[in-house]
Amino acid sequence: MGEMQPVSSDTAAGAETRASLRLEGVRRSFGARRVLPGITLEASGGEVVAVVGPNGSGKSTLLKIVAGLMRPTRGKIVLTVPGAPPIEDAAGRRARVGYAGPDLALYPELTGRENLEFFATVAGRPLSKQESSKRLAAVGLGGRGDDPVSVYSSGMRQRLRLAFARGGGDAPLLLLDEPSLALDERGVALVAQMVAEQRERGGLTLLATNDPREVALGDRSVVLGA
Amino acid sequence: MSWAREAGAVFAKEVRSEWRTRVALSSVALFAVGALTLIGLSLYVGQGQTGPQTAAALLWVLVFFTAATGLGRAYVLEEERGTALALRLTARATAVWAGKFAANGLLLLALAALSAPVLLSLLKVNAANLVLLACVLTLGCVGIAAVFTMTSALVAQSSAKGGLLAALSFPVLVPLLVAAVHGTNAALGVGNESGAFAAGAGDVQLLGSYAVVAVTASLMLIDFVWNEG
Repeated sequence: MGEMQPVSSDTAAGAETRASLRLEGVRRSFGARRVLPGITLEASGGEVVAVVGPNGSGKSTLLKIVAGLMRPTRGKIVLTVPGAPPIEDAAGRRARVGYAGPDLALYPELTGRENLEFFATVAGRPLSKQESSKRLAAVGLGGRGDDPVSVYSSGMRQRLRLAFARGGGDAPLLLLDEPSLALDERGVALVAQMVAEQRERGGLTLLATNDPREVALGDRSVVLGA
Repeated sequence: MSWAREAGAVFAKEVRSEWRTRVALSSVALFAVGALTLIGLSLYVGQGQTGPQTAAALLWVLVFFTAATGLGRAYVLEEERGTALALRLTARATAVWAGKFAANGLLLLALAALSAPVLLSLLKVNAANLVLLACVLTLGCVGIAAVFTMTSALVAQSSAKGGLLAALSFPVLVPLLVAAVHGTNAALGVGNESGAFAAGAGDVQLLGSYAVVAVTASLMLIDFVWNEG
């Protein structure tokens, strides 16, 4: 595996992304079963919030709702970014979040580079080969970017997910669901680095985790299912 | 970034993925080759001759079931492999649909272009009007690809994907299949070229209208089907 390089913004827009997030009574039920009670939360300007709780307490569901991938049964989510009116719709949030979770997969028949380039292109920000190399190197996949994802180890796939979530390093809201899953010590350090960089830029981070090392990255914790 | 470039990127990804995995290609080719071989064997054993009506029906049976075998995987595979999440986060639902529809349409058209001449030569049926036959095949394949791509998105998150796909698509495709069989029969059966075109012109219009409606309706509805949020 290639040397991990310092995670740094590769776009000019990555300089400052002061954002705020407000959740008002966000609730999700599947039939009669409520998986997420009413969650109310406010976070702004570089905050890192660790969402903790036992298995099945709704951590991943909460992150997916905030990402705009799942509809809340009730409640409101408002994301505010500089220079734009408050974003309340799911499509608006989808376009502005960086998300990595264990159930997010990338195309196994494509290479790591092709995956990053494809998703960047459909997101409206095509990457040059140099830019994709930089993004791969930033997560320690510098030497393996042209291998198909099908031959990646679980740790390498997780690193690629992190590269996908990080994008150009300018997402106002970073949503990381168990980001250190399957990662070695250097990978765990990479997660810490990503979170630190997001904080410096004024972007928000929500970390769904039960790993004490990840919980320690947060400025505060929200406990679900308590 | 224009919508067309976004759809084009999805199309290119579909073609590249298909070329590397050959998931749809192998199942579609296997079905087509198997069906054509069986038709050939039955004719050899029976020493019989078939008319244009039977040839038209057999051709569309082949196209429909080939589509049911191969095209339904467009969205199903995204859900099964977990790549749907990344796609939902980055691409517009309509662009994803358009890219997948274009790839499905290309696959079906290629199959029809290869299997129709083989089938017609096996059945010893000549086309009275090749242009009409090409029009009917092209428009029919476009309509079928649009319906199967949309149905694939509908059933992708259900538990009985395989059965549902054909069950939902067939009733919707009945008007198209009726016009396609009738139009193909006209292209194969009526003695001279102009007579064949006169007999099949209405079917071409119907197939064209069906394709336009299927594509438009899919583009209008896909966002509700694809994105939960």
